[in-house]
Amino acid sequence: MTSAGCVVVGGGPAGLAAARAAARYGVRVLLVDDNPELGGQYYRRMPAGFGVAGHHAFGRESDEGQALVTEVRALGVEMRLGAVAWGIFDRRIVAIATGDATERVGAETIVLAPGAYDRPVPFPGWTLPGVFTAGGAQNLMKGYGVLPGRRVLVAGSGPLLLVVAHAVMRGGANVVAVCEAAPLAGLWRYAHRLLPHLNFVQRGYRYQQDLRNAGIPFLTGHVIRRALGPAEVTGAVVSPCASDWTPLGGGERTYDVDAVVVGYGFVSSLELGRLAGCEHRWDAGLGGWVPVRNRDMESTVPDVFIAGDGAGTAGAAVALEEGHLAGLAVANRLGRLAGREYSREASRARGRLLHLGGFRRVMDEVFRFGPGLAALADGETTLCRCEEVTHAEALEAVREGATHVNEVKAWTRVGMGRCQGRMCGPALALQVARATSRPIGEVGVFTPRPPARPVPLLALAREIGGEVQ
Amino acid sequence: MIHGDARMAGIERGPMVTMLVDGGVVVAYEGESVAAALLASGRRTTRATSRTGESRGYFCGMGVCQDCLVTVDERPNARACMTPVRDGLRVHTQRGLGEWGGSR
Amino acid sequence: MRLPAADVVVIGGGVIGTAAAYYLAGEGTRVTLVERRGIGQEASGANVGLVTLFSGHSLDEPDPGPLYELTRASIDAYETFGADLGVDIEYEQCGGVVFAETEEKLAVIRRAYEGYAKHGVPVEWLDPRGVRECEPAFWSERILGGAFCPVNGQVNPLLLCRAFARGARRRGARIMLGVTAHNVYHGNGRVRAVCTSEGDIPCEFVVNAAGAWAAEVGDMVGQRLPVVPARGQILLTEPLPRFIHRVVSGAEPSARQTRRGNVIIGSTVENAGYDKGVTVDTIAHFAAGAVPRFPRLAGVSVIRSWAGLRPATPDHMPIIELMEEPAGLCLAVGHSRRGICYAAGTGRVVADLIAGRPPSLALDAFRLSRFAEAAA
Repeated sequence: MTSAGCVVVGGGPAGLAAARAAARYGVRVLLVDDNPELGGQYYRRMPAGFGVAGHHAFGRESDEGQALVTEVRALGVEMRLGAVAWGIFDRRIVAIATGDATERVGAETIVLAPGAYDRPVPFPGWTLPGVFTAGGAQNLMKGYGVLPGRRVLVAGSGPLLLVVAHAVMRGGANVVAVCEAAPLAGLWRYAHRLLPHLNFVQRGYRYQQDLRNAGIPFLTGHVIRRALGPAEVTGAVVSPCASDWTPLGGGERTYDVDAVVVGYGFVSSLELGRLAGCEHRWDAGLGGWVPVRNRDMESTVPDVFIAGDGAGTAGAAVALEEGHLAGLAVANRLGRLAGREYSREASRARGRLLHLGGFRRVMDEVFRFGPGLAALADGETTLCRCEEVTHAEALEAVREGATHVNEVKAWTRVGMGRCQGRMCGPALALQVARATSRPIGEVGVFTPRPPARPVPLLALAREIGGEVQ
Repeated sequence: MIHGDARMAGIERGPMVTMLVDGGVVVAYEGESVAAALLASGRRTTRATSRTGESRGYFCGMGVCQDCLVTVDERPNARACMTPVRDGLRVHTQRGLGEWGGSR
Repeated sequence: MRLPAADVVVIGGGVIGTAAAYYLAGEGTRVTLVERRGIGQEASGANVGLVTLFSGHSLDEPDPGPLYELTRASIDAYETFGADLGVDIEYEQCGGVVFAETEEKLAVIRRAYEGYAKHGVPVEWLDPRGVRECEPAFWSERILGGAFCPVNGQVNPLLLCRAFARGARRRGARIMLGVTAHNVYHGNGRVRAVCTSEGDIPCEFVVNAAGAWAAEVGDMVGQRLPVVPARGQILLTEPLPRFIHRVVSGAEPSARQTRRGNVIIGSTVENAGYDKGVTVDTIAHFAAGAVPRFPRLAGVSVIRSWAGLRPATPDHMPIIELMEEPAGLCLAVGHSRRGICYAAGTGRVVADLIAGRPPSLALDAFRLSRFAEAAA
């Protein structure tokens, strides 16, 4: 069996920062990522051989990411790219599927930096080809220079909407409107808290100005109600919504579009943390579960650290600091970084996190998750995309006595598909909570089980081993 | 429905490759994902579901949603967004659960 | 706090408890079922879903007898059960192949085959080629032979439980979920009430259908039950078009393909206490066992795994008995590896026992006292 001082799962900002920090102090690090290139979603860039001279849409993050990747490689971090970490066993053994075999790695410490994925929000027509998540649209544009469509509606909530709409516009397509569910009224009230974060604010303001100058309507307090088909997106309907994002009757507007980009924030990828036995708590503001951690990014399982968007989405700047803190803690835990220097470095990182936290808290309040999203779907709307289960079928199970998401799953197949409950889990929890008048945090989660991702049987049947140099 | 080339202007792309998609030639560029190439050429539907036969395509773009599944070189359930293009790649939009070949 | 009285309180909402509630309620008996989690959330929902008259596991008891009758009752019931309740339990008599890769195993199957054939159970002996023709998806270089039973089949155990529960409810049973039975009050040699987390339920009869926790309920009346958890781990693949047509068993792991198209690979039998974890070794072991035997599976992905806690008795046979001391206590426990196979039959005889009728099948082999007698 391979062994490593630290296995880092995830090669985005948090994972790279953790690997760098730990490796700097001589820890033998093994970094795993399922993409062929490092960088995760945030640092995604065009393939080698693509030239973007004169095209500035995605320059800066790419350079920052490249610098970090170069540093991490130079530090001798062992890589497993295109590899899937599918399980954590006995708290220390990480199972990784590379190609068509499984490698078991005995890790003294583990840093989980698996990131997050777009919150899937069901609404009529959401399964039509031509409906993209905001992250999916970003990956298409940032990663390949391909547009999601020619006439695009952008809808959802959060700062990423502006970024995506801006990118679509810069890419040469038509943004018919941007629908932001949050009312955004009284933003001036946050002015004093936003002052220390002028760089973020300026960027947002600039995007908004660019959109306004291009004549793109920015509708606050609006949600997408329906994507029109029949076989692929041909149009979209939006309407006003209440402050908790509950759609309101009347005031509907229909747009002629060939693509809909939907972004309602993110859901952390918690599967590996749960498999490792880490405790989680429900965060009502984020509208999601997050791991319980101490200020060293350590979970409730000793020597397992969780950093970045995979611990509650807070963006790349926070991810870098959290990953850094986790890497420092690993180095300290393994005796490579002495107490005093560790305290000093960690304090600095925590100070930066504290500063960033101010901005994050404003964002989280302004774009606070609205449970009214549950009212977007009607009975016939697909809830489980993989198994094609409707909301009506799920709610019938609830009426029959199912009160835990696992019970609805058992009777209706929701969550039994290839996505392993990622696309339907959040929405199912919302629906069950609403139908049984309980808090979302009390309706349960799908029981975590290996493999955390689909893995071919051949890759599970064959084992490889070796030593990390 | 084909909408023409959705690739952004002003970007130099790598060496051109050709794939066969449902028997038809589709041009792509080395480094692109199959999904990006399909979308660029206006092909948004990757599969028809097994229960209702409805169309699905690229949704999350990061390998999580399992909706952009296509059959690649006779192997079903390949995520188009996670599969790199290659010259001569044979891609088929997938019907239902796909065709899993083999003598057994 | 006093809850409404019932004639019978059933403790446990798995396949046995819901079946018992279904058949009891069908006689107009006032039934309250108490389940601390949800319907079918333990072993009943965590098994492979086999309904086998002739199986790799029952080869230890080659003579059809009470276990055969129990299974036969379930098979007969499942053929039509659920339809009128609007629950498709996905029951399919697809036939089952039991094969041998060693001479020892072949001898065991042969003995079992002869026993079953003698009793008129449809079982066909197969040579190696016959095994392969019976299930072309299956491949083994070392097949020595086997047997085919056309009556063997499969069911969706989760939906089976749903159907029993729905049927029980429609027949007037009260099903209380998320409610824990804390104690069974008994006095003057008789059960009197069940004390639950929601209050006391006065009753005349109590059915212990608590699965792997049967002994806990036994303790409530000072009864020692030799039922312990036996963990079974299972892997599940993504769905693909049907290519495994029979239920195949005889070497670890066995495999079947569900209505949806997932292939279920399993299961282990191990003593792991109440731990329901799936281990990395089992995953590797099952994958290594399944791929050579079902070559098409090589490129098929595992998307889920789970483990169930079977309620195991020392002789793998259930304990089904209406006790005399305390009177009114009915045991329906210890179904070991065959709860799904025995459920309908068990439910029917529990209804017989409580109604005071001679049970529809002989229960002597299932008495609790057999363990004391064996020890003596």
